[in-house]
Amino acid sequence: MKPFKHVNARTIDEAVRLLEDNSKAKLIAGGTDLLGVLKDRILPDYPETVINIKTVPDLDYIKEDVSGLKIGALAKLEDIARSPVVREKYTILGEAAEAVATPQIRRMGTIGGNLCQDVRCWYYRSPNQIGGRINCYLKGDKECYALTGENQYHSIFGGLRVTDTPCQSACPGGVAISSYLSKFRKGDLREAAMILLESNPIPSITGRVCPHFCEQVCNRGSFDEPVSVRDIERFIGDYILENANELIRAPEADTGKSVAVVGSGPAGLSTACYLRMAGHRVTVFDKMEEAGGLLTYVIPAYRLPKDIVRRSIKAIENIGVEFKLKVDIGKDITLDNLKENFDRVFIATGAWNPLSIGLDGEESTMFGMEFLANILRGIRQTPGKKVLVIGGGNAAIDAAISSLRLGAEEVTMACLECMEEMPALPWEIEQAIEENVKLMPSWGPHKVLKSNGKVTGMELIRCTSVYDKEGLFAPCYDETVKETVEADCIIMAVGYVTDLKFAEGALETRDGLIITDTETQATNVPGIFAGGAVAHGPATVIEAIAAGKRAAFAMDASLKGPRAADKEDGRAIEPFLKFNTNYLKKTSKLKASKIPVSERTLDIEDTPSSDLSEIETEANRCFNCGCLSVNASDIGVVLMALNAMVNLVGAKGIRTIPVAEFFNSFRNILEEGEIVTEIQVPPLSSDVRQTFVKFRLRESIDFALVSVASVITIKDGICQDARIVLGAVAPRPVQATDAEKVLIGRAIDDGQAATAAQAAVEDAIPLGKNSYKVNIAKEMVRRAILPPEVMGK
Amino acid sequence: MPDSTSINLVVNGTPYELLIGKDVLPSDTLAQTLRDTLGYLGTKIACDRGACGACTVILNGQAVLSCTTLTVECDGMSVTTIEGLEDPKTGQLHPLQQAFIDHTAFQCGFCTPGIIMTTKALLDKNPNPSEDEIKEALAGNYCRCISHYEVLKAIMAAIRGQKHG
Repeated sequence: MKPFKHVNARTIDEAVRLLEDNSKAKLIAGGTDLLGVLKDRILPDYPETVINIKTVPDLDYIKEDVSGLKIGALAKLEDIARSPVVREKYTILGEAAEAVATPQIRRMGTIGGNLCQDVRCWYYRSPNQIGGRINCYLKGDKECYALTGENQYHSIFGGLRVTDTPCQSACPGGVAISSYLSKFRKGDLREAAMILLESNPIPSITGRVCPHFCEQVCNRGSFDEPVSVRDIERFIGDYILENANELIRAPEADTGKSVAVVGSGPAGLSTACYLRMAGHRVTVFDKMEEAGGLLTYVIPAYRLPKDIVRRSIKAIENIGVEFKLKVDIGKDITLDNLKENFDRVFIATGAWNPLSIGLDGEESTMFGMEFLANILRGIRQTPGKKVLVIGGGNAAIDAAISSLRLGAEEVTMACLECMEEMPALPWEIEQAIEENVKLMPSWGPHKVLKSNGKVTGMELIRCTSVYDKEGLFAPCYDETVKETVEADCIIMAVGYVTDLKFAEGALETRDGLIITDTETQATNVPGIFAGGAVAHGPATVIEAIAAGKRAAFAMDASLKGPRAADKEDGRAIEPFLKFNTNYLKKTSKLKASKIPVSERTLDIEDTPSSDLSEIETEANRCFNCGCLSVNASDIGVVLMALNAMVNLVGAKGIRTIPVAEFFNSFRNILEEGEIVTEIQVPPLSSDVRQTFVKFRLRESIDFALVSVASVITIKDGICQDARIVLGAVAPRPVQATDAEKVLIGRAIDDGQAATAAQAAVEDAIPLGKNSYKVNIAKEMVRRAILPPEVMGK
Repeated sequence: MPDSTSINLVVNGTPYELLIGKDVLPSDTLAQTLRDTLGYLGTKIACDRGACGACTVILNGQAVLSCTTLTVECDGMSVTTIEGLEDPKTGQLHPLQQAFIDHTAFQCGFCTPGIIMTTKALLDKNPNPSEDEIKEALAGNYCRCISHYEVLKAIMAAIRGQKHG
């Protein structure tokens, strides 16, 4: 084993202190699980210190009083199995202890250690020595390999979420994608919409224009093709717009505080919506005639229909956000005015000025953003017969395609970047090619050519590289390689910069951007926040939305004062993550239909909406990523059936919780530095029948394929109460409440037992190679229900 | 209370003082210490994960897995290994060892020390176990050569031998 320090704790308090002082420490009790884990180095974090608690005296008791059985955490499994009181009254606990591994391990292992042992999964436990440790989802990596891999021994009831899924982590807005897809699959569109709205108030828009970073990391992508989150988001976004009055609700009470938002692009809209929902009075200022910023004035209508933008804004207006348009900050109002008249100010004025590159003849070119804005204002003029667009981003693509749709005969797009480096998204480039835009990657603009004062073309020079070794923009050219492109119109779409004149002398800036705090979006001036392109430079809509939300939360917190800590009173048992197992085979991503190139226009959306059945199919493709390991402790299964409690001691004191709750969080509920000290089993009435069954391939050393513990109370032949718990079938023990319901109030006979057994596995969603476990689970539940004389035990 | 800098261990009646950090590392298992530090090579390491029983020794009267026990946690304890079974004066094998030879209760012999130590611990507590009790006690000792049938015969013979002799 790799070296570690070893400390003996004399008391539990000392162990708690030692755990507190050593962030990289592990407790050792029996050591039978831990030492294997350490030898195999299955965990990325190796402990620096191992704290021995076997040296804590008097913690291995097994005693009974009126309140039931009490077992010290250090009681050995063999002693529990042999304890007269356990054998007489709590028989299933003794049977489960006796069924653990081997006699040697039972002699060494403790009940506390047994409850705390790590999960079972051969990917998770694959030794580092065998080709390197497997960093699975449970270890913080992206994927649970059991879902589509070797899953013979894995969960048959779905997974458990450990950390955010890759899609959610990749989303700048942190949208809980798998969670809303899960609601959608259950047919709960409303709840799906609510989850989406928590992080994004304009999903109908992002469902059309977001690059969907989530799809690039989707675990499904390494299996076949990623889930088309875009199409599903668009569908639910449109549903939200249809039902905006119900879903985007005005606050119940006003706080009386006011916030000014300057700019009504995605950042401004997001802040305004979340602040209004929190009860503040919000006024949005915008210099344009219509709100929406680039959503209204830059992104072409064939990609983002303007009625979608208007309705999205209307929904925010409807909850009481006031929009004051044609108000230009720096001209019509000043930052000082706003500071005086509002409690908080959010600056989201975007980046609207052309980036001048100092090109010879630049004044004769057209600014791409202005070109796109004019189209959206209704000015429909063919820019020229032969159009040259300079730039490789999505605005350049938009300008090129729009030029063609305005009647240009030939459109060329030249950019510094090579094909692979172009900042436009792959499908945007594909569309440009499809629509006959001539791409000229790796060419830099050199000189605008003119004749009689009219543009006739441009001389381009070969761009040999765009970025330096540090990845900074530093283009290199080979001026000996030249090319001339004929054009009567040149559109520059090479970048946009902010206009910060209004902020001069007040807000700190760097490289033309307002400096903000990364967590709160606060500027150097108290009460003034900023986000979106004015603070971060031109980026994606979802990044602006996320900055707006961050700012809204920070402003809300600063207006309302520190929020009272949420009380945690009794955690709900987290449900297992379900997915559609029919879709664990290879399938293709939804290819949203597009209208034929010849029929595309400037105003009609190129991509019509997908219908519900297509969206349902796509949502079914989501893996709903979670960990599919199984819980290892049969003793935990039995203790759950016995309604046992567990004592935990930590730096914050002692707490006693039901064993069911102990297993609720992943692995277990233990907080950092907490130690299991005692197990308490309530007394059992004489009418109780307890049964424990463990199905395994070998009678010794093996773990359960399925274990079942039942505690059934029968009076006058009628089942009064039943607790049935299954082990090794899911990441934590599973209480079969449906099976219990079948039994309670009825006489238990063969038929009832069979019905209950069926109910216990009704929810099962076996993976590719473990459906046999469902049959075993069913039969084990049946055996655990029927009296031993029937089972011939 | 500071932890001690050395541990005292009695192996087959011989006391040892082992300096922590020098003779033993905190991460050393008892199996490693017995074999590598103290030279008791009779204790075998096979799976080294607590699954096969080959490393079984008797620690304070209990048959335990020495591969899954940290040496630093054995301070003040007494260990018996397979080397400790023969008569130290005469070198005569323990009756259990002799019974295993007489019944050819092994093939490759790698699991044998563990099986004998588990059996010894059982017989120390229960000198007259039933066949089932023996099987149960040995449920954690694996043998790839399928010597179990002969092992059972040998143990039963040893028990009978002790009774009559």
